[in-house]
Amino acid sequence: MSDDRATTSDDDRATTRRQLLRAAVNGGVATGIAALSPIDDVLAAGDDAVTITYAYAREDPADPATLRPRTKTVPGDWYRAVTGAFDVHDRLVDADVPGLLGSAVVPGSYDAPMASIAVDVLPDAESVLTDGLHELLRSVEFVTTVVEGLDPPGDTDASDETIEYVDQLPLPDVPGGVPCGHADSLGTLSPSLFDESGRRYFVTSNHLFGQTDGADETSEGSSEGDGSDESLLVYVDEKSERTAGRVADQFPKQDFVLARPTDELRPTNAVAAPGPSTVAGQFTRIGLADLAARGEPLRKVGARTGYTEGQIHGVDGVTCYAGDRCRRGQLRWGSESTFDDGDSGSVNFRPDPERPDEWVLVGGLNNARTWWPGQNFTWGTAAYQMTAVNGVHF
Amino acid sequence: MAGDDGAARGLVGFLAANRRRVLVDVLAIAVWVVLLLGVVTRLGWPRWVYYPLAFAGAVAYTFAVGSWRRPGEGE
Repeated sequence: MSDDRATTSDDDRATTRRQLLRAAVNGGVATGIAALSPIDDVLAAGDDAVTITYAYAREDPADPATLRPRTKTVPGDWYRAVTGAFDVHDRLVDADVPGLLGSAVVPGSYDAPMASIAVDVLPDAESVLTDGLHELLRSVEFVTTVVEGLDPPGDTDASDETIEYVDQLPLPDVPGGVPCGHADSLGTLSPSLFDESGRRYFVTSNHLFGQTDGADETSEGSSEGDGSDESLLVYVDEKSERTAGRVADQFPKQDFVLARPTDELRPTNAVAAPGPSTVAGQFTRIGLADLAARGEPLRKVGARTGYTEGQIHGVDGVTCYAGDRCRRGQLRWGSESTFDDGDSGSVNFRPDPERPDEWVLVGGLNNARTWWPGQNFTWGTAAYQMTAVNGVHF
Repeated sequence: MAGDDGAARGLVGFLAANRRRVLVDVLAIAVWVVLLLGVVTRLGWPRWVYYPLAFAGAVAYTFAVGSWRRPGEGE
């Protein structure tokens, strides 16, 4: 204690050294604890991957007994948003709101997972409907489109338009995309559908057979319609047409017919398209939503507009545009130029991710397109809806 | 400088003098890191923010509470 000042100065320096040492040790301890803490697990919990069944496909495309689910993982928040929107949309459809012309779930992308619901209404119903929708759709964003002037589609004079014949048909096998018809009507053949027992059918749109939406539908799926036992013709080229089969079942609500093949020609699980063409199976509802989320386009081959591509605009939709009946399980995609009269009965499809060079998976039928101003898409019954309601699959 | 034996004895003495401080530090830092984990995950901050913040918080805390004491220096 003789030299007070010097001692204090030494003490100060020693204190500072110990202070720094303590800070360094504590910082090290903090980093160590941080490194040991389960931050990866906690962060991952908000961003968990969910496994979905995106399709049902056959391991051997020709053998319906080999149908298997196809799975993949998607971001959890995206999955919850889109399935939540499906639930809300189901409630909307069940509420049977008058003035509602159509609606569909619009999935978000992986980066912006919020899903929304597109709603099309008549002008006079808009204000009433919008209030009701706010109540019903509280949890989901929705986009309203007012549809004005929804006149019945004019009869287009189809006779002077060209038909897209398929080159080099592998007869007697007839793939989807081939022009077909009945009497004066032109349509497009789908790839073959399998029923529950694995039997194959020729398929096209039901509205070719003249049964309108107003027809009696008390016996859904029965063969009491106008077109029962009518023959389904396929147009091979300008000069020749062949009878492919006879109509066995009509499904006006899903807008397709099953025709039992004659002995002459065989329905084939293929599409007459450039690129991969063997149909291995079909997408599920969530599988189509996943395609929409990733902006993956669909393709189509039709008797009128040939080969076209387009993006998905809405999944699991309802359409009440034509007639007084609403159709469920409708896929909205493409544009008005994707589809025209005569393409009815064609399917939308895209390459199978497991065999993209050879196989395709089907999204659903193409039955109609918008003909009024303000909207621009093609729609049709999705394959999963045909499986759920009618028990058939691509 | 003291030999190994002296250094070891010094360390033991040092730890004995600062036992409570070391324990309190570890507890305080553990609480800090857990809180930080909650905040970072709740606010969705990027992960690289987490480690520097844990370190900086511990250093700031140390300067707030002061230094270790030498053996015999008293509380």
